[in-house]
Amino acid sequence: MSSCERIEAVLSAYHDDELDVAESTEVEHHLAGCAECRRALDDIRRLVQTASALDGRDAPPQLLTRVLAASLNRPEPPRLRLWARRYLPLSLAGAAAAAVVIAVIVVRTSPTVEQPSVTPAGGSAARVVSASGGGSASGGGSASGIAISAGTARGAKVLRAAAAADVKILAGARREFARAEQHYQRAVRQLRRIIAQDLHRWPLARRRAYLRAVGPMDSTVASSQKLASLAPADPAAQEMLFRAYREQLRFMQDAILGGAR
Amino acid sequence: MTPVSKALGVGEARAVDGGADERAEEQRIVAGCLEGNRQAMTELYERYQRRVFSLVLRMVGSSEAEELAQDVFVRIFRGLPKFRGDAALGTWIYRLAMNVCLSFLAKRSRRGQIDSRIGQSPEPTPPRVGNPWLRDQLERALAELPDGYRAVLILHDVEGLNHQEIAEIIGCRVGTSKSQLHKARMRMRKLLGSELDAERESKVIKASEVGA
Ligand SMILES: [Zn+2]
Repeated sequence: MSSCERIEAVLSAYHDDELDVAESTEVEHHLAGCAECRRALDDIRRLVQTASALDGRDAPPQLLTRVLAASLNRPEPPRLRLWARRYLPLSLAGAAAAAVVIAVIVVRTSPTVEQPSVTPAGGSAARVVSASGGGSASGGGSASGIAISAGTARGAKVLRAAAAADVKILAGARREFARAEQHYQRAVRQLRRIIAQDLHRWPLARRRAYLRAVGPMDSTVASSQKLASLAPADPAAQEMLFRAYREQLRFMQDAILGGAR
Repeated sequence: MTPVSKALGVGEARAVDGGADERAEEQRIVAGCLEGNRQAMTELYERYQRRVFSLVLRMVGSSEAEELAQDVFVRIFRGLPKFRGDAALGTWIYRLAMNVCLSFLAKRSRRGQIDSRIGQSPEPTPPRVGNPWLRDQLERALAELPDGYRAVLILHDVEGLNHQEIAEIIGCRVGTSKSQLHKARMRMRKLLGSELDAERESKVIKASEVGA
């Protein structure tokens, strides 16, 4: 690097008074004997002087009106809608998981269920609950109706909470996810208890079919749980876990209702 | 001999951050804006519209400036709940404005669109010397700088911010801001070579007339 190149590299810093004394002295020594570098410094000086003298420009007068209109009448912030789209189904699904248990219990303990002619109606009502979260029929239908309206009220509560805690959105979402998961796990435990009580009364073929399928079903859930814990913020992993839970619930529910038949 | 640096003072620095009174006043305005108070929002707009519009205008050109400036202010009012007050409000607003500009420019260059200002022939102003003329030439040359150079040069030399503030606004290190500024100035020197020469000669002539 020639001495001119070395000096040129620090000319801006020299101009802006950012060099220490030794460096400045070196630059000044060089400038005293080098017209080329003096010219470069002079150019920098005039560039900076001219730039600092550039006028600011006012925004067009109509801009304020447009800004105020756009800012004061804005719809729901998009982040909230995104949040609700992604996580509200989880908490509703959690409530629906609880509804499955209620429906199953009602169908199972209702006196009419013991009679073969009524069982299909109750069974389908419980299935509707687990599939879409809606349904009305005799027997179990009314119980599922209660569970679903509880789920909707819960959804409204979740939405209000989300609006209030805009900054804590992610933390809130994680909590909501954990809560939905608890619903599922509780539902699974309850159904498992029911099955443990009823299993010895099931016909041998149905009992064998259930015991064959329950192991793989549980390990699918376990591996989905592991995946979701490795990637706690990944919606795809959460989605997969909840799908595994839903399948597990549907499987147990079918086993119970089929076993009661 | 007088140190050259003293003789070449940059001129009055225009700080983004005012004193304590100024801070209190801004807090009052921000609080009003958070409540959706129209008067407070207007005050905040009036305080910053010139700085924001000038910056946006120089960064993206006149055809898009108004729309982007509107975008910047809408984002300011939407983002104020997240403004923590640990940075100066001015720095925060500059950062928002610069982000809007740079992401717009990145999108425009991906689409392969050409800046409408480039290639525009400058108005043929007869007196080819003097400060107003050089200012026009400088505005034109600014438009030809790479976006990153232009951002730093506008913030430092036009708006009068220091490297610490620029680093916060752009999200880079202080050293990066300094080296970018030097490269930007050197590029400007190249772009304005003949104009700077013309102006220098006119001064030499004037000086010799005075001396005679
Ligand atoms: Zn030299």
